Amino acid sequence: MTWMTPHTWRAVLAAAAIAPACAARMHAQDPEFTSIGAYAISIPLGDTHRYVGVPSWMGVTWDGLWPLRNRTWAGIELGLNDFFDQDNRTTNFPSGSATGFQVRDLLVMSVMGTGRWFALKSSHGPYLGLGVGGSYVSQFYQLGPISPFNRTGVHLTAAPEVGYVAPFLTDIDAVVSIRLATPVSAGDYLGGGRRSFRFMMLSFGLAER
Amino acid sequence: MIFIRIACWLGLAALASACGDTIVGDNLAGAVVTVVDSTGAALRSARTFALPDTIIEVPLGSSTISHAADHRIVASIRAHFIELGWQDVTKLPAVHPDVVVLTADATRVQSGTAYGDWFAAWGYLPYWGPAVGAGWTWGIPGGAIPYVYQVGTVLITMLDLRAQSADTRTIPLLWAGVLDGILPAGANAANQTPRIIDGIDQAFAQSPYLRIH
Repeated sequence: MTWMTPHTWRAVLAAAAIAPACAARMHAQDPEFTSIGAYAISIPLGDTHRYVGVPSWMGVTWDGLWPLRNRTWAGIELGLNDFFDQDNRTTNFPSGSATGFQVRDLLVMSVMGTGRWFALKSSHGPYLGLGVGGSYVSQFYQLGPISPFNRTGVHLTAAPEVGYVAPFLTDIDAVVSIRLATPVSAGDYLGGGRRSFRFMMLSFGLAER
Repeated sequence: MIFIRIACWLGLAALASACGDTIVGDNLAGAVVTVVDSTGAALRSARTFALPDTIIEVPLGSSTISHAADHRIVASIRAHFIELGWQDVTKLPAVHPDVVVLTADATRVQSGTAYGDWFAAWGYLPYWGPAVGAGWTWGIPGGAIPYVYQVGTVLITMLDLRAQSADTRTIPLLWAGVLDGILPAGANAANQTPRIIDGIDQAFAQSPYLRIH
């Protein structure tokens, strides 16, 4: 794999295996339940942009939502975003520089409780959302033939969101949303110290009721 | 419901297939890493250097790599320092240099920012103070990330002779250039000289702070 580490692969496959099964089980229990699977493109911000400067094309999310009251829903979300870059150049660090073929990867896995409030109808049209939970970050770096570095961290994360839900097929809606993932600064990553790997996520999904 | 699941699986399969089949690191041609004392004060005040004309193998006595190109490699390092404004006092025994520059070649996989067994490899050089012995270590700059480098890595190390500490038994490492994996295991260094010279050029090119103003 040119742009995915084995670690990333395992996480992707695990998420892919778990999400449909969870959706089916929850759907059977509660007919009011809505399951949303989405593909996500992410724009790196802040520390994320400093480490991987290019957008992520590898992102998937799954949301399970239950109606709380009129126009308000609550649920959980599982997310997986992978930021990857490779190049052959010089990178400057506080205590030196490195030149050579470099691979940088940032894998972000998140689990959040979510809430959505629809502005016009009970489950369609524009909505505002907020997710609060935790994210696990795996940072990978390899320079030339040097043994790769791997750092990991766990962050508290908040993710405000705006989106739009439109009818698509019978019992299926199309969902478009923009979300700002803002983890609390934590961990001990490459270069030393805490990081807050923020990113803006544009997701396209399908919701089944 | 089936539609969504199939779509999800197809989407994930498409993402997976786009990843290609090349394992990370397949086409690596080596790397050049430089490590510097980030405080910079000691480095900025150094003016003179000594550069022994020997490239030692770590560990000592490995004798696995040809030394036919040693003279050219050392000459390249010396030329870079002189071009940057440093004064070479290697052949002036009456002058005690500010720093000594040592060049080594790893004949085994090493870990750390510099290399161990340095005293066994170099022995007692006239640049060391009288107390320096095998129990001394090199003081690595704060913030430098230790890593594992390969057999055939050429290491250029600059040690501050003015700041040897008998209390901590350390000799500060001011700067290091690591040409990682330049020499394949068992290679003839003479055949690899152009790659080594290119690596040396790169190490100095990415270390503009070595220039004396």
